[in-house]
Amino acid sequence: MSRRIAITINRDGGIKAETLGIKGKNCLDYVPLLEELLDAETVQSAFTADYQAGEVHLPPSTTTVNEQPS
Amino acid sequence: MSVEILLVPVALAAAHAVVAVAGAVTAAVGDDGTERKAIAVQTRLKHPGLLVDALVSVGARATSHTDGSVSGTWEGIAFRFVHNEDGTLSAHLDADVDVARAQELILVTDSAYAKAVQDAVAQRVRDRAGELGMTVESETVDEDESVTLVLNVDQVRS
Repeated sequence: MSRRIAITINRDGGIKAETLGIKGKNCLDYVPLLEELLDAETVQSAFTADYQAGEVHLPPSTTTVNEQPS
Repeated sequence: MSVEILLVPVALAAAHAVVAVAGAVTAAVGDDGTERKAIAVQTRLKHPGLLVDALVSVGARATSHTDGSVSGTWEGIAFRFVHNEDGTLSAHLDADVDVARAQELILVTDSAYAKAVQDAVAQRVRDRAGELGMTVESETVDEDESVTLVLNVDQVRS
């Protein structure tokens, strides 16, 4: 399966980017790349099902909107 | 799907509302630079060049200055945008201006500016994807005027 990134640029200037077919922690490598490509800053991130499929543990320094404190 | 991120272009501030009237100040308004009673309107806009383009697109006359400020007139309303410490631009308008009209100016300008940012970001992706080992596979425009580009990143080292 090809690795893809879908970038949606909204009319109000906000941007959503979603990695597709990239499992595990490798998806995090694309965050700084996207910031450079888009000349933008990340304000929120969330892991989705494919990340969980490739990795058991989240990096302790990474915050996600889905993560709940234990 | 593995990660979804929300980003804000550096030309826009994430923390500010679209428009907020900050109240009365003494400031230069318009092109002459003379200080007088004015109202300040906070915006999320940061880039003077994009701001001039946006103002012109909504029918204003606008000029950027070497200090980064932008002055001009829109439908008889004189304005001057100046940078705040956080990089955002505030608009200074004559104190006797109708506040609703002032907000209208800022809102139409914000909308035009956002469109300019959207266009600039999309063009940047088209121009720079190849340099980063990415290929634009598709580009679509949705009913809400959002633009979606799908990039193939198989050639990107990760």
